Amino acid sequence: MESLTITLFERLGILLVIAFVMTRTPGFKSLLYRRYSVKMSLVHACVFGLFGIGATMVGIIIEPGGTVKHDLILFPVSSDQFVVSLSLVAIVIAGLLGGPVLGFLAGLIAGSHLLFLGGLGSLANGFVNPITGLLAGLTARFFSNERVISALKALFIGVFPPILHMQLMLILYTDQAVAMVNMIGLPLVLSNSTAIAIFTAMIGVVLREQENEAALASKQALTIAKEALPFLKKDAPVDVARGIADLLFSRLKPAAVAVSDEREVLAYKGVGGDHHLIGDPIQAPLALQAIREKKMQVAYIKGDLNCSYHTCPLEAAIYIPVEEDHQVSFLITLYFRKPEHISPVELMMAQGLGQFMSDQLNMLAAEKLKSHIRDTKLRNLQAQINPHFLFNTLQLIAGLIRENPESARHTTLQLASYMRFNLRLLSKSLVELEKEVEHAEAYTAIIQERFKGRLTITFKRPQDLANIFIPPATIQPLIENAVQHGLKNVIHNARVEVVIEKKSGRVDFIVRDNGQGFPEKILPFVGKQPITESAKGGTGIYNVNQRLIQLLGENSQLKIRNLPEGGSEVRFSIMIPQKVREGRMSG
Amino acid sequence: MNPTYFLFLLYIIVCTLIITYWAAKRTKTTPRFYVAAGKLTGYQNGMAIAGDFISAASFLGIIGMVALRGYDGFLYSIGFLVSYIVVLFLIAEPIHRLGKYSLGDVVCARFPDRNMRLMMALGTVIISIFYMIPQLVASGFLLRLLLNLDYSFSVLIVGILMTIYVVTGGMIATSWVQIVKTVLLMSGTFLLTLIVFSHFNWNVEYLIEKVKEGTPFGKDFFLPGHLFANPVEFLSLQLSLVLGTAGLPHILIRLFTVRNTFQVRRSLISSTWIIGSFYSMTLLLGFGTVALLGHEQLNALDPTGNIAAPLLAYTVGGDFLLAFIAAIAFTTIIAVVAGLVIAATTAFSHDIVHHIWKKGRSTEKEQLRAARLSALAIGMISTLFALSLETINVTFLVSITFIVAASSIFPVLLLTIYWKRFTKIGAFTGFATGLLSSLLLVIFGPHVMNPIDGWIREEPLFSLYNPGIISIPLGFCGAIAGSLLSRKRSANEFERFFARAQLGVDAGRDGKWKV
Amino acid sequence: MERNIELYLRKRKRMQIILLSISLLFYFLLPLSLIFIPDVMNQPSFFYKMPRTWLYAILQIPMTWVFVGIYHIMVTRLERLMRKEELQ
Repeated sequence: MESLTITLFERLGILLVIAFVMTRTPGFKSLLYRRYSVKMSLVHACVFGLFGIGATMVGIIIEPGGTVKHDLILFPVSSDQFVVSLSLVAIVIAGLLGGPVLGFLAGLIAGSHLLFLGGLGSLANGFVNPITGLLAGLTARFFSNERVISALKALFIGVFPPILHMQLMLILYTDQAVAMVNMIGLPLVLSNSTAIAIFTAMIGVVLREQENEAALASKQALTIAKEALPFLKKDAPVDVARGIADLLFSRLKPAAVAVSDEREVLAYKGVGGDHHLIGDPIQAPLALQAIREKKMQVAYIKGDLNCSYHTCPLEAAIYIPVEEDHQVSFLITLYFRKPEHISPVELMMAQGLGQFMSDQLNMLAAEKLKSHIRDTKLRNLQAQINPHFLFNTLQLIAGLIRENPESARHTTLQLASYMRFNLRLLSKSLVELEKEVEHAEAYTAIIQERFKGRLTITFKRPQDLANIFIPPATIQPLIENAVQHGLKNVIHNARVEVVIEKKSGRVDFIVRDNGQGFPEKILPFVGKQPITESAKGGTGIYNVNQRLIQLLGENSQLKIRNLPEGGSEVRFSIMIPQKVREGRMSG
Repeated sequence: MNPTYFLFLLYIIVCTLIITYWAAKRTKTTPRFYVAAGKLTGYQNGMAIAGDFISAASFLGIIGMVALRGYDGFLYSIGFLVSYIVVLFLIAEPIHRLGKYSLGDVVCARFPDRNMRLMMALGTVIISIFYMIPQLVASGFLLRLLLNLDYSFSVLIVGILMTIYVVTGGMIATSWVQIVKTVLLMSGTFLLTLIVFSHFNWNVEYLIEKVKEGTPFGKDFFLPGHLFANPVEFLSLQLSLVLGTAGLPHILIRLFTVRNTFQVRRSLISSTWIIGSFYSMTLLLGFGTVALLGHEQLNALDPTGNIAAPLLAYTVGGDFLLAFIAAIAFTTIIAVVAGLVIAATTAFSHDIVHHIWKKGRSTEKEQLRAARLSALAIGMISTLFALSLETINVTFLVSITFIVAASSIFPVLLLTIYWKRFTKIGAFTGFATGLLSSLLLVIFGPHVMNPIDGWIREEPLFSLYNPGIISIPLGFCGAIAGSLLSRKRSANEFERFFARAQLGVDAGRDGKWKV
Repeated sequence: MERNIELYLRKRKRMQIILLSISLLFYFLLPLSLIFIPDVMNQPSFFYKMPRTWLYAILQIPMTWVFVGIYHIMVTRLERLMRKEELQ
């Protein structure tokens, strides 16, 4: 019995070599994906059936005397010889992988072959194959949580087909079979179960390989996606194109990469750069189709590339459209030397990248839009400035013209200055500090003139405020607020102090009044909520505060308090830009 | 040592150990340990029940009995099978609803009393150990027969295996080992039957002809009476068999492993189908044995007939088939003893240790540890018992268990569930009467008191081998008398209890309550 | 609901008693017939010429299957009706 066992193991070795080679073919890998189509299943059944037949052929024949013939089994045997076939290994694998139907069909093929070979026990040989295939398939369904069962389970399950085989022999052939069963029973059990386990392990290796491949491809795709981001953010399309072309060329290593907009090539990298030039119009039909349909296209034939140079080494291409806002902004073309270089992994990657870049472009556009909208909102805030002022000032001027023409002229000029500044408001979110201070000074002059005798406004400012920027109309509303609300009930000796000074890298802006101060109740809310006109504070302060915070940050927000000696103080500070500070320091 | 036998047995051992390992990883809580957290499906449980129930005595013994004694042997099968009607119709669903892990829980649902629990626990342990010993002894013989192993060594192996299954894997491992055994048993028996049948050219008449030739009884083989001279024996046997299963703790606690009563019914239906098919096949196999091997040969080799099945396998299939059948017999033994160990363990650690000793106050971890330690202890004790009983004929222990179960546990269960007037005292008296009468009558009966080869070399005082027909009614009478003579309890309590038993405020095994 | 439960219990009890009695009667008549009418039982039957008592014994197996099945189906039906409160 030992020599028989060893012989069977040897034969199974041959079988396993063939099996291993089988697992390396791409057709085998498709079997593992279990895509159900009738044609594919039939093909697979035939493949495994043939494998089973091959297994039979490398089996052994047992002669009447008990000796073993080692030749390959190619022709039908005589009726007193017994064929020991190894087909069960193939059939069990067919059933485990492909399900009961596949197992059954493959078993039919192998079984028929065995019936054809004849000899002792041929009926048992013949029937056990389809039955085993069916049962193996059903067992696989039972363990359906794994795509392919583990090798250890296979080892234990693989014991049963040979046992079934032996039982069938005993059923169908009664007495004559006993001696045979005794001889080959154990060797068959050992060898078959081991072979099935090993084959299952091989399949497990293939599966893991596939999964690793897929994982690596995903990782690469994500890395490329991340690296593409800075290029996509660039403003000029040419810069974007060039950056993407370089990146894709170095990462994916195609023969060449071209990035074009919807009409012409913007960047090109790789082989064939001598005749595929930047600025070339897009001609290839599939490229145009990709742009039109906004779907990826693949050219497998050289002719489809529409390249007029017949020495061009490029023979295949993938066209990937990148959309922004439902329009194709870019077309990425990956060129390959040979159509075979395009693998499913490549295709998936291309598809994914195209999708990703489209998404990124859309997102960037959305962000820009958002910030525009923000800008506009801010501009709206800015445009909330009080029109009453103009109205009152004109009245003042009208009054002054007769009494004090000099004053009237002065005031008119200040008003003009103020208005000129106001126009500027609408176009910028930050203005030169110098200008804003002038604006505030103009306002102050007008107000001083209007309330002459009743109100004294002092204005202190440093001389040099160059190269510092501030949101427009931040100082003037504070002064306005101090005059309007703080001094509402003060008859005479009203004072407003405006101080602008530079201190430790920042410019402080302080407006104080000696009025009645903010009502305690609303003090915490001033600047943080638009309080209605009647109370002190109002929309002006809120507006200023919001703009300061949004454009310069939290540190520049308004600090509001009531003074202990009576009155209130509103202050804020902004940072002097680094360069300016340094400029200062260096002299 | 024949490599085929060895490898097949090794295969079974490794397989079951792998299952146990897988189950052990899942057995971390007491519900899982005791009742697999109620997660078995009806069909799975049915297979496990069949695996738990069909012991080596059924597999090996019945084939032999049919071969040697014909009709009377077959009556055992019938009794075994029909008993499931009693179980299903009368007590299965109420037990599922009333109890959590053990029979003690069931009875204490109506009579919450420590002594009641103790009584049921003791009954469980006694029956389980009585049942276990002949199984272990049989395993010792089997392994000695096949592998030429020393009896003690064989018993030790089986004892260690069963202990490992239960200690580490609890009910989950036990159930799955039993399920695997059922699959192997049914397929192996089926195939063997086919082989035997093909020996007779698929012709039943031919088979029957050969049977008549093979036995000295000739055509009288088919007449009843070759085992039981006295027809009263028949009745007694049938009575104990049909009522006995309803008192077997290791079968009844399997009813706790499913989620609801629908699954309970489904379990019992599937197990009935399996067991029925099995006994049909063993009938044919018994016939085949006597037809192929002949009565004399069989009787000479082993008068008990236990060797019939292996011998048949060897005859029709040589070493290979014998190894296969022997592996199946081995699996049968370990599946049943594992089930017995867990039944006894449940009774000991859940009833005695947790409820009685610790007054129901031990933590989950303590309970689990107690359970595992109990399993270890019980496994070891039974193994030790079996080791010392090598030379003694213990087959009568199997029939004792059915008689004891039918006389003591079954009356208590039945009356608890259905009789309004049943009282605690009645339960005690019934149990005691049933237990004592059955034990005494067996001891004084021809099994034990036998001038030729019994333990006591005297003429038996009591003539029936199977005293069931006396002890079962005695058990009932004891219970009834005890109840009538003791204080009456209020009727309301019973109404509520009865509704609960019949309708189930199902304390679902997975913790959810359902009507 | 109360009434439903009572109905259910009553119907079930009735069914159980009937089924149980029939099946157990079938079962026990076997040994009883052997005790009381052995001659009749030992006559060969049409079933492969084996004594009638064999046929009777073999029939116990399908009997068990059938009764167990009937019980399950009937109880399931009763339970469903009880839940839907459609018992009469």
